[in-house]
Amino acid sequence: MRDEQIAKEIIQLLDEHSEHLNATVLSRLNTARQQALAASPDTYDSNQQGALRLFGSYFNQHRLMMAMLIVTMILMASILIQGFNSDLGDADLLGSDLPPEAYIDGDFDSWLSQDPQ
Amino acid sequence: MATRQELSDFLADVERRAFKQTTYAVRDDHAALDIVQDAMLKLAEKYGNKPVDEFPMLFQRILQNTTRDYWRRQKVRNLWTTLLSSFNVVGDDGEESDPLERLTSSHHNANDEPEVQLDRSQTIALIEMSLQKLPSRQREAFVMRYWEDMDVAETAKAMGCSQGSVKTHCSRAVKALAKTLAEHGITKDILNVKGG
Repeated sequence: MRDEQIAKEIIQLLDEHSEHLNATVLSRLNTARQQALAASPDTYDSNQQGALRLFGSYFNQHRLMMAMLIVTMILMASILIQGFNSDLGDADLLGSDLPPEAYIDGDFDSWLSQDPQ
Repeated sequence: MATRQELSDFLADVERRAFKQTTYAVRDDHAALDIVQDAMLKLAEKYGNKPVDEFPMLFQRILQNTTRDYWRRQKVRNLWTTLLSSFNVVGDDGEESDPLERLTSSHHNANDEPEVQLDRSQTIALIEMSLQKLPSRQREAFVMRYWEDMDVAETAKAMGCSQGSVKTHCSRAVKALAKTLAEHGITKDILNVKGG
């Protein structure tokens, strides 16, 4: 506790002293801060509006993850579409009318008249 | 993710302390300004999108690394000048003397007690010189724990050491500072008065 108290007293004096830096130093520190802010590309500016800008910023920071997500979505979509088309083909085949050739095919007619059992 | 305003506020808050602590380490105002400028730039470019709570630890780590880079360059460029540079100055009698002794003795008033005579500016000068004399790890731990108000875990992360090491460095730093100040008649009570 004694150490803490001594440290606090020292820090208080240092804080007061650092408030009185000369104008040249303060000017350079201010310039350095402005340059640093100008060089910061990805900080979110709360004054800017738009969900798209937010999404764009998020996308920029997580490029690899977003790219993998998009590829996965494309793959899943193509798999689903292929499966859907396949099912549709079978249903379409079963539900559609017979082709005209079936009606003039004598063998098909005799097969139709057979007892199912 | 920090906003631009949060980053700006953090840098504005930390810049003076960063300059002073770097000055204690490199003992050159111009070099300290360059180092602080580099550290700010690196923080903004590479970590500007981090949460604002992480800025103190990140900035301290960058500042320490940038300071070490400076020393490495200095060592390569000007080894002998670094070895020969010291606080020793030549006194009026041509002999080298400890500037702390000169500071105390030149303002000693025989009519008053010495611990009362030292005014605030001299006390601060003594503290700053004492900080400069500390081993770098002790100084880093002291500055981060007490001046930057970082907790032990954050300080350990920034310094790249264990929490136990941080506590040890801090304790030794405070004891060394207190001892140096006591040797020049500045006790805790006097510090309390000077601090207001």
